[in-house]
Amino acid sequence: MSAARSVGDAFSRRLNGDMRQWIAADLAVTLRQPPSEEQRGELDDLSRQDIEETDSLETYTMASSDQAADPVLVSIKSVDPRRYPWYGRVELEPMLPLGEALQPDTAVVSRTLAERLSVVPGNRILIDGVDFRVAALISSEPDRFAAAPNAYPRVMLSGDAFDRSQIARQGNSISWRLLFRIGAGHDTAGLRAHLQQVFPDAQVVDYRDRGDPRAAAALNAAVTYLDMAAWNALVLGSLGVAMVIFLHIEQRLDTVAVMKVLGGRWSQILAVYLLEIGGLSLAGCAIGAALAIPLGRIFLLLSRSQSLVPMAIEWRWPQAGQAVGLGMLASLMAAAMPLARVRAAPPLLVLRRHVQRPAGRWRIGLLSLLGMVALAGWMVHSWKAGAAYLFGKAASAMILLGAGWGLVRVVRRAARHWKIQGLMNLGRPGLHGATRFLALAFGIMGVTASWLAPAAVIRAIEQSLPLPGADLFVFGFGPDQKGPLMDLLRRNPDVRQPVELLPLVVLRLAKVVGVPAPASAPERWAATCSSAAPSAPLSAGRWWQPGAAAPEAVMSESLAAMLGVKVGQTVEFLSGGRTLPARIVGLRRMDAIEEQRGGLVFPCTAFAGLNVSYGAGVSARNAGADAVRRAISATFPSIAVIGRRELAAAIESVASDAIWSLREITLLILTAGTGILILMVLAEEKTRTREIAILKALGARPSQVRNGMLAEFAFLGALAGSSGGVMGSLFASLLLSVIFRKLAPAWDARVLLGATALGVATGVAAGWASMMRTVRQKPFDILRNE
Amino acid sequence: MECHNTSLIQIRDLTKSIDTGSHRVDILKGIDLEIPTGQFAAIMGPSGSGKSTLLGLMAGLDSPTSGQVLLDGQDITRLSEDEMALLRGRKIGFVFQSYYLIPTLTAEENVLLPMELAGQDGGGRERARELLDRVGVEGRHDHYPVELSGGEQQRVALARAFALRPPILLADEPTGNLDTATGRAVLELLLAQNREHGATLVLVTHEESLANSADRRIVLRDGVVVSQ
Repeated sequence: MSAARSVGDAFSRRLNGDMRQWIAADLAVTLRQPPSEEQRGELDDLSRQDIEETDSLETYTMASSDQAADPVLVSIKSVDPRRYPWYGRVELEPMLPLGEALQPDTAVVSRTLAERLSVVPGNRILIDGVDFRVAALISSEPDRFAAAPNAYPRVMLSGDAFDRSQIARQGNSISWRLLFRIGAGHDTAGLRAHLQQVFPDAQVVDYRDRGDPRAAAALNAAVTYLDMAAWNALVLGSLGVAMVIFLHIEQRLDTVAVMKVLGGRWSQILAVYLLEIGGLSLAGCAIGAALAIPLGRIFLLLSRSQSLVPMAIEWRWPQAGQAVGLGMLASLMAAAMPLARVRAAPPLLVLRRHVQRPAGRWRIGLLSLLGMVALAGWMVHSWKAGAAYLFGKAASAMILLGAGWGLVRVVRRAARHWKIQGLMNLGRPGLHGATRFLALAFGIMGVTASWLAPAAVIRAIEQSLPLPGADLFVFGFGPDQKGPLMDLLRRNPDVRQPVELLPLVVLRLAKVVGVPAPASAPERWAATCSSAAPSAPLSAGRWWQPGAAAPEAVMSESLAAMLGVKVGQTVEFLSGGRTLPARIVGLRRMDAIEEQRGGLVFPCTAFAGLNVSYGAGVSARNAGADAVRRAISATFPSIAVIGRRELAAAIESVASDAIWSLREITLLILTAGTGILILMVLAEEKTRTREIAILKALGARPSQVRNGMLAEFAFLGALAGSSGGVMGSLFASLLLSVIFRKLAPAWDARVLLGATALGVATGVAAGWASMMRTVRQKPFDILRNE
Repeated sequence: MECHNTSLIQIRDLTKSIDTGSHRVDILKGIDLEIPTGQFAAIMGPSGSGKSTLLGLMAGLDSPTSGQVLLDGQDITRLSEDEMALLRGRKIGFVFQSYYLIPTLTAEENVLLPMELAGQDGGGRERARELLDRVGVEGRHDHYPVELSGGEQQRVALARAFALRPPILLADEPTGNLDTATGRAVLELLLAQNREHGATLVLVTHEESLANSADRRIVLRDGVVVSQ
């Protein structure tokens, strides 16, 4: 459990860690157009003040090879390898210094691209029709997600190589990132303010902030998720410890009773056992915490997460302290509960195991719950989040417990009616059928939710692809390429007319209702336009009027709420050095993905003179999509073209890397949790060895004992697996509906079947392990060893 | 191995040793015994003389180190676990000193258990109730073992042992945990089974009064039979 926690923690620290690594600089300025002469002059001034700067350009184009039939849309990054990155490292395979790998005639490419183009280092590829040698494959890149969510295979070039490719001259949409390393003694805030003045419509971020508040919120959500997963690991681990200790003490109650008979005072008895348990727990937890480091490192060696987010596991005292502290606390609490139960009971009743529950037991339960809330709050740095999460889990547990209680009784009644041995054990007092059901179902609920949620995210993104009905997407082209490209598409007989065009402008928020935008508001806004007012329904206001004097716009309802803007008020944006005031005339309910694509919709007249980039959706006749694509690539080799299926696959490939990272960590934690669950069930079933001995003494064949118990465990596992699967699906659906602000059901029959199978397998494994030795033994041997 | 003999239980040169890790303990050192059908035999001897071990070996609940145990001419030391289980269910009713009822089953379910294990259909519940009534546990059929007194638990254990009308009843100090009156009542139930149904009864006891009721007294000391 500590190992699982360490990995979760390492991932969380990496996400939450030094922003310098994420932006590869102390400060970064992102522009939609190249810096002007005047701006370059300012940069030269800064370089004389011990402030170093390097340019990084990003754009999209097509790459091909002799080995692959079709070109592949790639994301190009041009850097100066002598300076880039200021922080972090670009890891290559084979291991080469970046400066050595990036020559005017070479490129380094992501593994995905190498696979798609069937090339290996040493082979040649064509970028934009220009020949390059693949020098190495990229294993990791520090600022991969700094410019934009990057869904396409990466090609990294040196500045000279980029110039050789002619991409910049084709009119493609390029983003410039100016990366700064600031010498000691410089005022970061002052420099940032100065750069914001020099580049008024650029996005400026520095290592102290997390950039766009929406991205920061997503990152915080991921970190909180991982913290909660780590917390889950510790709680599951401590539950396992508590269960084992509880059974250990239960088996020693006879001795407690005898000590009472012999005049032992309660404080003496308590001291003896708490010292024993405390010592054992301290030793066990310390060894566990120490083993966490090598185990975690082995996991990372095998993990796919490393390629996405390089992580390191180090010894951390607070983390080790948490694990040891929680393990000991859980052990002592688990030991105190049965001891407290027999405190007031006469020794004879203890010996006969007929002890009533003490009236004050709820206080121990409440105390434990508050302790867990405190711990969860401490670990996620928010009492509110900790309490909300814990009570959510508690509510799920109550629903499952209720379901378990009812189900095992129904099954037992049916089993009695049909005389099915084994199943009759379900619901019998003392065998804790409902508790075992809860433990298994709870674990499986977590597995199901963590499996379904990421897959549903991909599905939601795919369903929200722009320009529905298009087979091909052509994007990132500028106004100069728009006319010739549209002509080509109009003339092509395979293209279904009309071709849909999606103009896009990136704006920087300047003022809201006349006052400077608050720091908490998103800086960069994606805006789109439409020549005619669309007919889509609005939640407030109206669509713009043709010929309105000032630009009017419709805004996303949630973004308007974030800014506190109402219909009729004005918001001011900057773009390409000019101010764009927008009078908000309507509000539209958009889901989170629509909002990312264009939270503002203007009439197209408002975009005149702005740096507009275009996307187009092409619908092909008679499966002619490939022919159209080849025709576009032949005439405009630098324009990005991608098929709908390919786009979905590209999104999935990057999303799935991130998803796999989360899944791997979640699954590691949950595998460890499932192991603990098996141990819990196993420990509980140790109490059934006497039952096996008696059954055998009464003439039960080993196969009868085995089949009966396996039927019981398998059935319980199936019930728990299916219930956990359903609850996990509901949990994931609820979560995604909240995230996407629309109903997002996360159901998958295969996952539900898998959850049921996992429940059966876990139940059978626990049942089998608990009896495999006993069932072959002679009854006297079992009783003798008991 | 099949033998033709009128003795229902035959024990030949039986030894049992256990290894405690640090040393070896010889519990039984070459026992030879024959108990005919219908006989009531009492096994006596001081603590540690091997009485319970001998009874457990007769029931096939334990494996000998060497020697043979023949029940109705059949050597049970060579039986597989499945064959042994069938034989236990069909021929042996065993009563433990500590009752060993299954704590998660009611009195009635405990008595019903051997019948269910033997796959007997129909009438089981009625017979379980009848047996419980006969041993004097009327009105407490639905009680769990912890809700019964020691005497009542032992009566339920007797009813369970009688459930399949076994020809051999083996009882390991069945009255050891009970008061004199309850002990006497338990013995009466065992004797009735012996007399009325002709069951062979082998009883391990420390009590002279119980041994006096037996047809035969077998005395063990340090793992050997000193008188029979």
